[in-house]
Amino acid sequence: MDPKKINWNTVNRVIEKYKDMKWGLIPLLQDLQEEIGYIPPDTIEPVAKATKLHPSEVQGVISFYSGFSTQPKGKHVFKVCCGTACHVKGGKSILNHMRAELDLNEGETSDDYQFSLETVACLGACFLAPTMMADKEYVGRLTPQKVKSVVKHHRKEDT
Amino acid sequence: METITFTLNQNSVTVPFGTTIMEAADMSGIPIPRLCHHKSLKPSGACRLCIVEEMNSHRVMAACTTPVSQNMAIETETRKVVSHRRNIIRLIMAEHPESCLVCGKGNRCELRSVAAGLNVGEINLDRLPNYRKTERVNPFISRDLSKCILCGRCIRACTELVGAGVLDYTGRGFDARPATLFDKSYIHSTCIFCGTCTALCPTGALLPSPGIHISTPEAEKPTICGFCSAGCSLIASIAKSTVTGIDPAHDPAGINGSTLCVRGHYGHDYLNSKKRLLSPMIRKEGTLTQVSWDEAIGYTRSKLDETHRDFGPDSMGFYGSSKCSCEENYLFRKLSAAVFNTNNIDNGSSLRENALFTVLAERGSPIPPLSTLGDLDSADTLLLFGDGIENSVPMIDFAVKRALACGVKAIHLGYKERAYASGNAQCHSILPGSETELFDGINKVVSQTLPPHHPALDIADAEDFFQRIEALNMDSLTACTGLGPELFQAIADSLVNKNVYFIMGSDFIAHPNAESLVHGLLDLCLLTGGAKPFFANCCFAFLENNSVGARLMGTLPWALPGDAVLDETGIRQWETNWQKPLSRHRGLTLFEMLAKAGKGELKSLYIMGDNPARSIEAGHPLVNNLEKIDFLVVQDILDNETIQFADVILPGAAPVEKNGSFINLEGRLQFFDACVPPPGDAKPDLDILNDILTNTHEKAAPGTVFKTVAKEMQAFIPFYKQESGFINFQKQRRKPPAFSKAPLPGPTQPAPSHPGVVTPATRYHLGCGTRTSNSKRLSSLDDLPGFNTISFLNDRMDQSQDKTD
Repeated sequence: MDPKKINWNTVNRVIEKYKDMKWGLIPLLQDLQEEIGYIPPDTIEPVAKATKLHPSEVQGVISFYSGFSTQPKGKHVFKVCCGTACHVKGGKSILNHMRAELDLNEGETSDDYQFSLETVACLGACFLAPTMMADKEYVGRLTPQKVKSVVKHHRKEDT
Repeated sequence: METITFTLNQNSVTVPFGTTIMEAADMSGIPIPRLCHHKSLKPSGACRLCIVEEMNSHRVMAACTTPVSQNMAIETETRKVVSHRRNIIRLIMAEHPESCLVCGKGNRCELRSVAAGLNVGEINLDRLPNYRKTERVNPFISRDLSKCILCGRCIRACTELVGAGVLDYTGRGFDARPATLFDKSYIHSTCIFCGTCTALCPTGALLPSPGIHISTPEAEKPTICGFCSAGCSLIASIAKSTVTGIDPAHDPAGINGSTLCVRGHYGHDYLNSKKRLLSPMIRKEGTLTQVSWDEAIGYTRSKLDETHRDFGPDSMGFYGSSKCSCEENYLFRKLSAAVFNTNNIDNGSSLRENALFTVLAERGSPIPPLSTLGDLDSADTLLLFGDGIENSVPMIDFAVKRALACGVKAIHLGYKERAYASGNAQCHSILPGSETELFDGINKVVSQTLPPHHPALDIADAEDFFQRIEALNMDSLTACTGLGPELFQAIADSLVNKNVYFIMGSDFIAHPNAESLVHGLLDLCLLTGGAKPFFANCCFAFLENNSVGARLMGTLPWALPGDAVLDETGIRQWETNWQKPLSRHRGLTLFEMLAKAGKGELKSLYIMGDNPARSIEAGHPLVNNLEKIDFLVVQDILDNETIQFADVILPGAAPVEKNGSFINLEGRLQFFDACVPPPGDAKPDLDILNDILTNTHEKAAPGTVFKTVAKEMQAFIPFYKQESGFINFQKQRRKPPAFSKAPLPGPTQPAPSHPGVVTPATRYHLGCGTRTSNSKRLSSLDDLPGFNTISFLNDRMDQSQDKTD
């Protein structure tokens, strides 16, 4: 799969759905990211045209929210929590284990677009500290062992 | 109007409902520091420097965004407020480079002046440098974002005032910055280099690219732009008697407010071009030789007298200028009519706008009385004809985009589909060559859509007009224009019983069939507006700064000053005024004069402020006829293509170097004073003309000739008043409104077979480009896109391809 190749049918379908909606830009972008995995920069201009905004404004919204990405992401995204509670419970060392396990630094995506590693300020699940999100699932009370098995599980899923 | 009373620094103040605290303070003369706020922009409340304290609640609020409410007690300088302000400034300065010594903003920096006002010197904070690369890849704007304080003025200027939307904040927190799409440099973005962002930037983050002078100018003087017909109010920065920079005047009453275009903002460096004419010259034995003013004036006058005596008035020609002032064109007309008794006079605008002025005069109005471009905001529909309005008169385009943002509907009919980024705009491309049919089609559908008892039905000649328009075959009109019948109907529905403004671009004005196009447009005005507003709501994109003024001052073969024409009334009026008998027959246009020169019958031609050897077109057979004229006088400011034929050269002055007035496309008479003296021995054009007229050559103090001529004009021309302001053209109208009587030509079938259309107006050059090509900044972009645009037919409606020549 070439993640750089944009499926324009998907893009147009999403744009069509939101183009006449008031305040439709953010739901549109969320949908687009959900469908494609990221917001390809080439879609900014068509999105701007449909929502009757200037392309620079659309870019401003995308770059403001850390939830939006203009870079292709891996199939599985790990978000390691760096909030206060997780920090106290050794979140930093969990992050180091994740780095070693995936051979990625935070903010990076593997060359085969399988994994992305990110950090977030707080996941709001402090009672599970140290915690992270693996795609849409919370994984809590992490230990080096658990980190290994989570990554292994996601690797296995694909083979 | 509802008012509100509140306490401001212990004084009771009453202001209209909705006034903000800052506006109230400004009205009362109480200073409140600010960085993000600017009177031309909507308040945004970004910098928080304008915070004030409400003494009942002790709440601190931003003065720029908070409207006054009843019984508020506002204090602008409490300890709390001043301490917050000082901290904000300290934090901004912690990130700001300490490069004031080399910063081109000089003492005009608002950050520096606000900091000084708050007594902030040493900030006693750790520095947090945010260095970024300085962008100097375009010849107009240099961008150093390390000096950016994120006030957002550039972003709001680009979106609110210009409607271009090139910039917006990108990133967040420490990484936030105003950026173009994909953070490209300006030159690779959609930026049009109008420089409005630069004019509003409070710091040195956005500056004009270094010119001949860096830092604070010695003086700043107001003037009027001499490029296109918008007539923008400018502030010229002056150092060592030269103009070193141009900024918008930020005058809310002016046509431009805080905006300008690339030519007005950055093109004035032509004033300091090495090709300026600096001293009078006479061709002696084939070569142009420098002479004194005495000799040049004496020689010119005696040669003109000689021609008049030996060959008669018909052998003489005069060519005025739509770039020169009203006073100059008036005196030039007086020279031709009262001294040399000839109507062989023309001006540069008639190369393009002759048909328009002729039709308007025929239908009884000198120019359409559009009140101001700001009125476009209150319209229901704008109907635009032609391409390239954004290049020929950018102020019209800005006004259209601002109107779109107010919810006005715009329909653009041209050759090439144009993308409007926002708002309710539609673009439809027509087949080239079907422009007359376009107007016929709209007029026909509109007349069928009119409700009964519509006032248009009572206008003179209505019955005849409706009959003729009825006879047109709609099917062939749609085939010819390429627009479907439903589209014609949709256009008509947006016009009937609506408040409509019509805008005609310079390509339609200069069209070979311009006469029928203008008739068509004026008929459409009557159909939609009824008889009451007499062609009001019509806006024409005249190309040059004083096209209207030159026409009203009568430098046309069929006209006399003060909007008079060569009829018995006009001639008698000016015979009384000037106490001289005047020629009664229509004179020759430039082309007719040049044709006559080809036969050796035109013995002298006096050209003031125009460059026909370039403006007619290179290689045109008539241009070489200039050589056959025995005595050719060229009065100009730059060494140009016409000079090679000249026998005498009289160096004149550019608009910033003299006193005068222009009339802009809205019918606004605007006076300006000299900001700098003309270079070298050059003289204001009015002084030169006066010397030739009176055959004296005494050195007059600057401005005295202007005062004498202006006084004479005030006595003779009712609308020429002492002060700048709108001319009431409703008063000027000579005829009741009536529909055109010209026979409507049937549609040409099949559709004309033009392969495409060339839109000659460019963003960087104006007219034939004599001045703009002498601007270093403007001409350095000659190889970039934005020049002549060719729209090919098979590309229309979907994708238009731009080709540059």
